Amino acid sequence: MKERRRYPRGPRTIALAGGKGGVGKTFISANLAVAIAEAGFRVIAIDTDLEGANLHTWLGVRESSNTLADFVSGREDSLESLLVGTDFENLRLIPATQGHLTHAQPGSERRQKLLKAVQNLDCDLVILDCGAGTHASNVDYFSVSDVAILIIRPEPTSVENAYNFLRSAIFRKMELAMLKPEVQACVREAMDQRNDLGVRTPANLHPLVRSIDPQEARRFNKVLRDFSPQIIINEVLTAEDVRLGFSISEVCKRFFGVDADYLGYISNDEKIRQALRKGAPIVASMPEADASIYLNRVARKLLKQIEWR
Amino acid sequence: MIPGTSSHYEILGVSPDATDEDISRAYHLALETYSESSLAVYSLYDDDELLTLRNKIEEAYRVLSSHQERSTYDSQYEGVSQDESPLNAVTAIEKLQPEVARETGELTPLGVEDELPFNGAGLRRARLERGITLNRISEVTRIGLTHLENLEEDNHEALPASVYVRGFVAGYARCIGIPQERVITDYMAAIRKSQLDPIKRKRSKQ
Ligand SMILES: Nc1ncnc2c1ncn2[C@@H]1O[C@H](COP(=O)(O)OP(=O)(O)OP(=O)(O)O)[C@@H](O)[C@H]1O
Ligand SMILES: [Mg+2]
Repeated sequence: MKERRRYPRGPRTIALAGGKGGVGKTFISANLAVAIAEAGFRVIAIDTDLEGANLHTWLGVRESSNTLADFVSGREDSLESLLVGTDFENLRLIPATQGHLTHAQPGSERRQKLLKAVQNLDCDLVILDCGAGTHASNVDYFSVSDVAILIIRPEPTSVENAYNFLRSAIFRKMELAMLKPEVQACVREAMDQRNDLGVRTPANLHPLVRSIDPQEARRFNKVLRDFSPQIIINEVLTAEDVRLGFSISEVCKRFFGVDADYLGYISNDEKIRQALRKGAPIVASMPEADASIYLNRVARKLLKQIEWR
Repeated sequence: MIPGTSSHYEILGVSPDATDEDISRAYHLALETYSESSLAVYSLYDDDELLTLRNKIEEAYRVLSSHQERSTYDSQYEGVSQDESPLNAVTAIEKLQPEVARETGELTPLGVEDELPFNGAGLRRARLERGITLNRISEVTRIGLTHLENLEEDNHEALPASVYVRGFVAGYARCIGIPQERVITDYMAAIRKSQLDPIKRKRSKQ
């Protein structure tokens, strides 16, 4: 067996988010995880959606008694003990359960602990399926991952929520990258979308930061330059839907100042539901299906883009 | 190239050494992206902003798609240092703001503001002369109306920290089309002066 462990310093992380509920985040997380595992990489998929956990269902895994909710609530301090196997050789899962509403989302400290523990997992790639909404934990997973993928459906509500989510992620990245408390405070104020400071985009924030500290302003530019979220358009029906990805990428550059890469699109395919009912991810159970072909394409492109340490 | 505006290359999002094909592709993508019914701009740009963007895109394409016009343009463009703001592309407000000054028709500056320091009253005079309402400035800059009112009334105590005020003054100046740097210098000096003034300080504490 070939040595697949590419880097001793922890796995690469991929987060899938989108702001909007029901756009296909979990379906895509599950199938990319399977496709990448089948390519020989050792993958761990983590269900971070403690309110609507169903990554296990997409992967055909039964509900487990130990879940991420135990880690989040502090009952469990090791992620390893939460790992469960799947039907796929290189793929393991850290499931979540539904209904832990008291500890629905980890607080900031627990979140940092979780991200650190993820870095110590023994695998090549970690896939984080995020829940809907712009809760701080979703934004954090997305902001600190090596690859941040926005899932968008070709409809106004999904586009709106995706932009909103992206905006939060950019400002959060800024907040984390800025060193001066004064600048951090300024970023936090601007984060509020309804701020009356005239800050609509990161570009508007830049002059403010520069007037506080030019060095921070340079750091600010670097963060923007280095952030390259990826876009997947899901449930594509028409050529316009396909082209939407290019347009969104163009708008991300112009409005937010980030180079968002159009990773690919996945067709609207009724076979996805059939596969779900059978409890078998479509890329494995129906590799010939239209959606599987697109999913595999996306997986291949993704693997090419990942910079292995 | 006028400082504070984007080059035709930036408008189309291509590099200055773009081929004809690059330019044509970028133009068609931009037209589709910023069309009125475009899904890709949903919730980010309003109709006025889209129209402005499309006009700029058309103008950029008109120049860059003609070899002759492009080389004339290039010779002017050469040597102009790039803005150090994070975006070389057109950003929502900053680049659109001078449009407001223009939308109010020919300016009618009497030149008075050149002789006056730009404190709050000076700002208001310059604004009124151009027939621009505070509401309109607030709409375009997204700076809260209350902040703008405090700015004009020299109500310094009610304004937030000076970094923000700088931004407000800059946005205000850009929006109505008066020299930004001078206005900032004047206004910030006025604030410092009022902070030193013991009578004013005492009054504000009451
Ligand atoms: N490409 C597609 N074609 C057809 N149906 C799809 C497609 N993608 C997703 N669906 C359907 O949309 C539904 C929602 O998918 P999924 O659960 O992956 O969304 P989600 O973004 O994870 O939702 P949540 O925000 O609730 O976590 C599923 O029932 C799935 O069958
Ligand atoms: Mg989900």
